[in-house]
Amino acid sequence: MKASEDKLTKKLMQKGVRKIPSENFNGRVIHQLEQRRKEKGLKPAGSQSLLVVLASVLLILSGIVVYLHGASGESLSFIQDPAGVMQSLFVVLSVIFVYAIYTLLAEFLESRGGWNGSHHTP
Amino acid sequence: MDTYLSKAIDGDREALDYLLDQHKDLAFSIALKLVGNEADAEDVVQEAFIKVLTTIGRFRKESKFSTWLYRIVYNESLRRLNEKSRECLHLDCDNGLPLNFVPLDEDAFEKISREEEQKLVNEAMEKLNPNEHLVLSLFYPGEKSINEISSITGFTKSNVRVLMHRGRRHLYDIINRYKHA
Repeated sequence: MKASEDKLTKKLMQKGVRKIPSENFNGRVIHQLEQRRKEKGLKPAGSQSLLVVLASVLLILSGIVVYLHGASGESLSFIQDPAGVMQSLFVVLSVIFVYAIYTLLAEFLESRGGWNGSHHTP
Repeated sequence: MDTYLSKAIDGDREALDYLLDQHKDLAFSIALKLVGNEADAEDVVQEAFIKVLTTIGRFRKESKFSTWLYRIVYNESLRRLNEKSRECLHLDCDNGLPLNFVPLDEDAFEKISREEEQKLVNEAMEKLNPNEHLVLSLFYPGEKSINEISSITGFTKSNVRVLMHRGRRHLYDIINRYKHA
């Protein structure tokens, strides 16, 4: 390619850069940025952790009950569970627990993961 | 630039203004060509800046800040297009302008008046294929290398070269047609 052609393309492309129409574009971006930062700050940081702790406690409790129930071979005296409600509860709590761990882990990895300069975008 | 970047991370208004002023017009031009209207293009650029500035702490400085920004502008534009189910943007979607163009009169651009020049520039920008416009914008006003353009767009280096070649040819064709009209 000739240098003159390169120069011409450069000139044309530079002249083709359009100015952003909004006069207060910077102000809008900065305002939005502050809003997002505030929202992020207001978001309860430990909400996922709380969910994990709560799910863990319930899971352990129901696990103990189910274990005792199975070990004794008969219904517990303090909980009548003829239809397997405790077992069902145990399964449901396990699902919640796995979900909570998954979201917590995802959040943690996202906060730790950096851009490698070529492929990952936030 | 690094000083401004560090200050911008700390929320310094002046530094943020500087960064925005440095890149917003080229980012807007790129987005405009991809999404097709000013309102969407402005939204894309705004969203891209917010994304960059809220996640700037993760930026490892392995590449230039602007390379990162333009990549997000490009991705945001594609996302916007997908949302609106607009025309495809793949390399195969070339508009098929023949490459056997009339040889360029090197002085063509110098001989025309300012008014004509603006008209010519507008026509050229309008007629360029979005991908050709993208790579030429990043290469010339954006001062990005072929490698960086490849990183921003995800196109292979040879595709970037092909697009640049075709883009230039389209531009010369437009200039020549304009001159002979």
